[in-house]
Amino acid sequence: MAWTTPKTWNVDELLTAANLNTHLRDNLNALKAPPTDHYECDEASEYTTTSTSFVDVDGTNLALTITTSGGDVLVHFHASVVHTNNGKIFFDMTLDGSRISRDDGFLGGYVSNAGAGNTASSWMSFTRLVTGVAAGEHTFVLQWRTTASTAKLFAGATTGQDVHPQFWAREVS
Amino acid sequence: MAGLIELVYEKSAVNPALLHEELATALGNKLAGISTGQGKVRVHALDTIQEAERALIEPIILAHDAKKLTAGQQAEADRAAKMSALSKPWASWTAVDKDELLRLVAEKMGIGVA
Repeated sequence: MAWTTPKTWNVDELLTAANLNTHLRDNLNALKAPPTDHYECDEASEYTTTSTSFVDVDGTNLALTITTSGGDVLVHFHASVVHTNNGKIFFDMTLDGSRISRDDGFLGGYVSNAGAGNTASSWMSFTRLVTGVAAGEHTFVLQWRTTASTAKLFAGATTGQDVHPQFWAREVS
Repeated sequence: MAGLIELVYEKSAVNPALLHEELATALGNKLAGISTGQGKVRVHALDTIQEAERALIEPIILAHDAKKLTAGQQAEADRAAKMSALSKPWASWTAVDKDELLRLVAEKMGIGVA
């Protein structure tokens, strides 16, 4: 149910069912169920990258599409990651094909060596308020890059490290 | 500045570091990296890549053996095996063992010894 800018009520105005339904019922329903999309990883294999430029982690699944009323969107992601050579991993995301951040993205840092069994993981997460998103359909795609060697993101495929990252977006204003 | 293109191939068993090295040998600095997941290999290359270079990619991916290690991975595996061999009661350590540990630690710290 889409949000409708509430009407301004006038003194002595007749309350009609249509107006009450549109401006009260439908808007309350819209607040209860705002535009939201989420994906929880449970893959057959983990994600890896050796790319030193930002690339999609998974342009199909870790891509969220919502139709907004126009305003701000809160986006969240959390995951366990490792790096094969104590390198850095950076995260960013695109909004409708263009990177939201710039430079090295909005999250990054050194991540420990994978170690024996590739299970010596670190934890990375972000919660990002994307402001001023115009009304309409929008797609957010998670991206990452590394500095050298191989970055790995656990996606529910490794025994002993069977964790399930989540990526979600919700319009909040 | 050149942009990136993404070329996608089906391949489930991959040693990403090794495949990156194998592709970098063929593509040089036109390779930005590779990504894996969902049973696919995605090759990230500069959009200046030529058709002849692009044609090199698939045979390399088909020939890729995920069980093989890079030289760096092999060295790390060798080091781990040597460290594992030193996991024994202190009383049974020999002078050779102590020298070996010192050498391994020095190597790890980047103050290598020949």
